Amino acid sequence: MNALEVRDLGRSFGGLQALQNVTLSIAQGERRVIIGTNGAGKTTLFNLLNGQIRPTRGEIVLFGEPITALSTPQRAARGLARTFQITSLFAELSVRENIQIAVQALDPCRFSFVRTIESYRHIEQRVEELLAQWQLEHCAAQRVNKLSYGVQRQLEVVMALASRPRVLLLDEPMAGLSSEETHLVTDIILALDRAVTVVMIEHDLAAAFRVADRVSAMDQGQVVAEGPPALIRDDEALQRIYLRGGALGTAGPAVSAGGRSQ
Amino acid sequence: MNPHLEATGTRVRRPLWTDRSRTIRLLAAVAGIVLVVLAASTLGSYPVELITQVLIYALFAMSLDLLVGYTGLPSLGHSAYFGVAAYAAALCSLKLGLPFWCAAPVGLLAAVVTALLFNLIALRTARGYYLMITLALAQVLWSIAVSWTDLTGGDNGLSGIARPVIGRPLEGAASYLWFVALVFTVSAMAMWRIVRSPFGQALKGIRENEPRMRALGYETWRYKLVASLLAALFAGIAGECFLYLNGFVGPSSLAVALSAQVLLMVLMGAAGTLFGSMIGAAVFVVLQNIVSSYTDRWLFVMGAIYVLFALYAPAGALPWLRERWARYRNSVGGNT
Amino acid sequence: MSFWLINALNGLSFAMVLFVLSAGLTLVFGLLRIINMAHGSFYLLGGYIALSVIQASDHFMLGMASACVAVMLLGAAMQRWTLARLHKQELPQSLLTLGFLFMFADLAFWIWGGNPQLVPKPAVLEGAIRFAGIAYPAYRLALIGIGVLVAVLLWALLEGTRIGAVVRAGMDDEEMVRAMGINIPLVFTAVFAFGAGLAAMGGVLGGPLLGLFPGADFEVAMLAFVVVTVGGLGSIRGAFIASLLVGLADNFGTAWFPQLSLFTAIIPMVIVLALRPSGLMGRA
Ligand SMILES: Nc1ncnc2c1ncn2[C@@H]1O[C@H](COP(=O)(O)OP(=O)(O)O)[C@@H](O)[C@H]1O
Ligand SMILES: [Mg+2]
Repeated sequence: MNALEVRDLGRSFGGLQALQNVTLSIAQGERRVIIGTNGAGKTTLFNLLNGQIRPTRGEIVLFGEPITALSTPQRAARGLARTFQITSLFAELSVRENIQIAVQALDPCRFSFVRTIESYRHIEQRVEELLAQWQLEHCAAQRVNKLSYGVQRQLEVVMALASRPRVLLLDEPMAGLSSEETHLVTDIILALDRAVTVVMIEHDLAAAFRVADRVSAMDQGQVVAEGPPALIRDDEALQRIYLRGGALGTAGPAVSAGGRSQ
Repeated sequence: MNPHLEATGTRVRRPLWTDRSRTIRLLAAVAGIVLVVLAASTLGSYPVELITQVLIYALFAMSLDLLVGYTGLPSLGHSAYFGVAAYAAALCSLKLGLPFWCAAPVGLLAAVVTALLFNLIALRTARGYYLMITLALAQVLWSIAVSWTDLTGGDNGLSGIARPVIGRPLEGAASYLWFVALVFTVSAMAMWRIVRSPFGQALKGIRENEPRMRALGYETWRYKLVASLLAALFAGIAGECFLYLNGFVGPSSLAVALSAQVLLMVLMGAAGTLFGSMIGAAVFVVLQNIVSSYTDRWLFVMGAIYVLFALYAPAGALPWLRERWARYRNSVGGNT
Repeated sequence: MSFWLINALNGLSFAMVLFVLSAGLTLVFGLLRIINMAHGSFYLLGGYIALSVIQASDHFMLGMASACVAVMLLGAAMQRWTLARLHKQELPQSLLTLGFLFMFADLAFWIWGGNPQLVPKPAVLEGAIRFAGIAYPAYRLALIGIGVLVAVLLWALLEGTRIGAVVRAGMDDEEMVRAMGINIPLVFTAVFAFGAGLAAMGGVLGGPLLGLFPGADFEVAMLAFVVVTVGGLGSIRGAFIASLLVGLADNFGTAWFPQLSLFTAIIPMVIVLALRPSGLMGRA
């Protein structure tokens, strides 16, 4: 059974067809990277997958269960987690509180209001574990909006991982990170249990190809190519899309860098 | 240094330490209340009355803070829960002859049911509507209280409600203050628990970023609904304390002016801290008593206070003072 | 039969006062995103100013004009010097306008006293008109005409003029209008003042009907809030339809269940919001 199955998905905004005829099969444990120029519809695809917006047509199946009609929280409860391209955290709360909220999100204790949060040891332990794994202990008490952009981006990923999802959707997790931070994030993604299926939108093609089992390339709301990283890298049609208009300024050099390193 | 070692260290120590400091703070708070009550009762009936009012309004303001400060739901109909509880309890004892131990819970139940009905409507709608809809719904109850004279006594309200008998009748002002202080302490501790619980944490998350909460798997409207029921419960407790203080309830307990006042109390201190609401309530009640004794223009002065707070300390007085203090400290530090 | 006709006409004329008032509120909300708690104060102050001017000059139109101008200036000052500093801060804005509500209420009480007063009708509209077997007050009939006229004028202003186009664009996307090089702060002040003027006009029109008294500010503002939520925040067309709904519901409700007056006025709100959470014409 595939982890995620997308059939003929389409969505339009007014007259704009942001997404059309998207069909994807993502196997359990696969690392799928989605590349494409700005405005190709990648984020829209994620918004459809986690139910933030409704498709105009098509179907989404998660581990054999159709989820197209389910609400966002219901999908999250079935193990679908995501991060956001535009950092979306609890700005006035501390790093620890942010992670706490994410950890307890699917725990039965989340609705309890008679015991303090500290009395739930398994939550506390998971929080400490995540803080340690991501080297965030030193800023655990800091308010999130006081953090550097790089740390905020990392926290964005921690939040999605916190409740141990089965399918993880990462929307440009490395955008704007230093190369050091990019490495930390890539390493953690590589070290994730293979039971977790990862779908990642990424502009940094070097990092993307390091992580990917398969790559899907999108353009103008459609999937235009799909295959193992090596194949995609050499795809001529894709090169043309990426070079066209230089819309993908950051990706241009990354493509050649990836190419050189081989 | 090995980060894991450090982490384990803090994991063992931290909860123990916070537990102890919390116990100390709790004892200090209780001792503080006992001291204030004791001091007030030696000073005569006016301070006793004033402190009783402060505690009731503080409880009321803290209940609103659960919504405004923690959940980010700007309610302007909070007097509905306060007033409904008072009216329901009063009606139970006047028309049905029920004793305090029956009438009081019925009043609270009425407040919670009101909150359920209000919020089933108000929470469905977009965020900007919440304030107006709670306001409109509360105003409906007020107008019923004014115009359904047979049931509610209209503008005259309902009077002649006896204070509860606990061991002995709480007729004296001082003995009623002890009762209110006890109710206040228990309620405040319960609210403190709520905001420190996983549920309370979720409320803060909703305040900060509701879409993210949904993406994490929280059915956010359920949390908002339960938060408003809890807020209504505590507002109802405050309303009944007020009922038995005066032996009377009238339409002013349902009025929007009251909702607006309690909102000011919450925002005056610092929303989202409970403690700030308590301070805000105390300052407001004392100010009201002082100003009204000098001039008839209390309404104007109060309006001006709203305006000044909105313009100069929208986050409340406590953060404002903290910021001033930090600036002062810096300037002193810079000189030396 | 005449019960239905009279109550329907009563409801309609009341609805028109409500519409003039609510149009200002919804316009201000649509563009500035401000829920103006003091909107009812503009209504009350408008009515009182007109009352004083009419008593001094014996001239209804002069009263109306001076009330509108005075309140517009007041609104402009309030927006320019206080509200503009709280742009997009919902709670402080509510706090601020609540403060003005209390201050204006106390001021009005101080100046005009606590007794209910009626604004004199214009002389030509005294008396009743006979038709369909009833005698109906001419002023109320005129109100219906005036309300429709105001609605048409507002519609033409918003849809047919350049300033209207700017306001509509600003409701959709403020940043875009700003980027077009339009002086947004000025537009904001102007629209707020215009909204205040509409409220004052509502006060003058409603004054002969509903009377002016302490608390009237809040009573009508409350109904305006209901109208605006039912119609959809920011929609003039929605406000018009909702005014009719609320005005008629209030009138028939009061006729049938006097104890539950406001309750019946609010029933349309509950039904509409249950079906359409953002109001009749509201954008989601
Ligand atoms: N909520 C929306 N309303 C209108 N248009 C949208 C919306 N979301 C995305 N779009 C449009 O859909 C297209 C795809 O956007 P997006 O999915 O964000 O692209 P990508 O993530 O690949 O850069 C863009 O043209 C964008 O303007
Ligand atoms: Mg994107």
